[in-house]
Amino acid sequence: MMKKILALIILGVTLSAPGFAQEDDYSKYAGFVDLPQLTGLKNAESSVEIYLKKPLLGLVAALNSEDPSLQQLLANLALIRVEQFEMDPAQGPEVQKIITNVAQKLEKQKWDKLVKAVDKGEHVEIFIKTENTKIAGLLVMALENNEATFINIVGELDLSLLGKLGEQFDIPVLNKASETATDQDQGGEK
Amino acid sequence: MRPRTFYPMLVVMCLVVLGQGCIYQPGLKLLNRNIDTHLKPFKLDHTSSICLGPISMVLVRAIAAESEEDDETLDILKCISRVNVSIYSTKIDQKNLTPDCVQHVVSNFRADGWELFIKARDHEELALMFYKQKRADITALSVVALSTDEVVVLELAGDLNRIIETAMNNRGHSLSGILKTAKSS
Repeated sequence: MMKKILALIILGVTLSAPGFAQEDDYSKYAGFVDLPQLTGLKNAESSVEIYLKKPLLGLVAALNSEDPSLQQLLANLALIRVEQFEMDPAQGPEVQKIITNVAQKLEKQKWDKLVKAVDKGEHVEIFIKTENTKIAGLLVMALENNEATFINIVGELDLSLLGKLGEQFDIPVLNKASETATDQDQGGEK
Repeated sequence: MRPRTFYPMLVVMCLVVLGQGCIYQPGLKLLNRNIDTHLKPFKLDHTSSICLGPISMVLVRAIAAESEEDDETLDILKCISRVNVSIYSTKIDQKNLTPDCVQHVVSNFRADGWELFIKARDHEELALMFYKQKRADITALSVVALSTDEVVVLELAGDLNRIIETAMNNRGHSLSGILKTAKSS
């Protein structure tokens, strides 16, 4: 009897341990982007970081029972990370440099550039990571009105539903990305 | 006083005291127990604590309703059964509040099972919001606010899933809304 209990405990620990280890190790997801370059910006006078992980995304998914496609999209996501920094206008070039460096790094890692818009101190770049014909992650980097915003969405994404996600979380830049992706799809079909 | 009236009064008084949340707080004081370890390297001196139990929360809800608070506040208050607020005095030099130091503090909390949800910094103030989860349920919600001379630790108990649902629902799940709230806090 004791042996059975011991075997069950060992089995339980063996099965649960990898689950615990993987739960927060987002670096294993292809769509996750580590942004150590932002450490310098974390000294900004005002900053906000938001981490929406599985249980919270699950809650939002549960709230959207009337929209099964959005519910499915949210259920497939592992993480939504938002980092926003309010900065001195003089720091603009520094942020532009960070965005350019991250963009170069992502291109080397075979991420696809979806949007690049640079205009009078404003700089927006959006990248997607594709894995096995499915989108595994998205990164938005935006410098607008002395505010730098970095959004990393990790998990299986449907680009046609990106607009819905933008509406859901009120991220207008995602609507822009969705429109661009749709235009590119239509262009490709032609 | 006759025993017939004394004993029922004693029972009522015990219920009131227990209901206030000052003696027995299941699920609360999770954070306060280890707050010194979590907030290393900062030194804290405990100054005061306020505990609000279910009975006090009824009063808080009544006051909020009387003072015509917005629907969101009232909805959230309905979901909260207990609140524990602890205030600690401290001396934190602004230059010591480096990103590495903040990351170290967050790691201390994570080692104890707390998951970071929001980190908001505004000049000399830093607010960290954590939750604990058990499967799909949020089992504990805490806010730690650090300033150069004070640390405030707020712990909430109640239907925490509903609190988050309500907060997100009333804001249309808006991340920008959360960002604005985090900034204003």
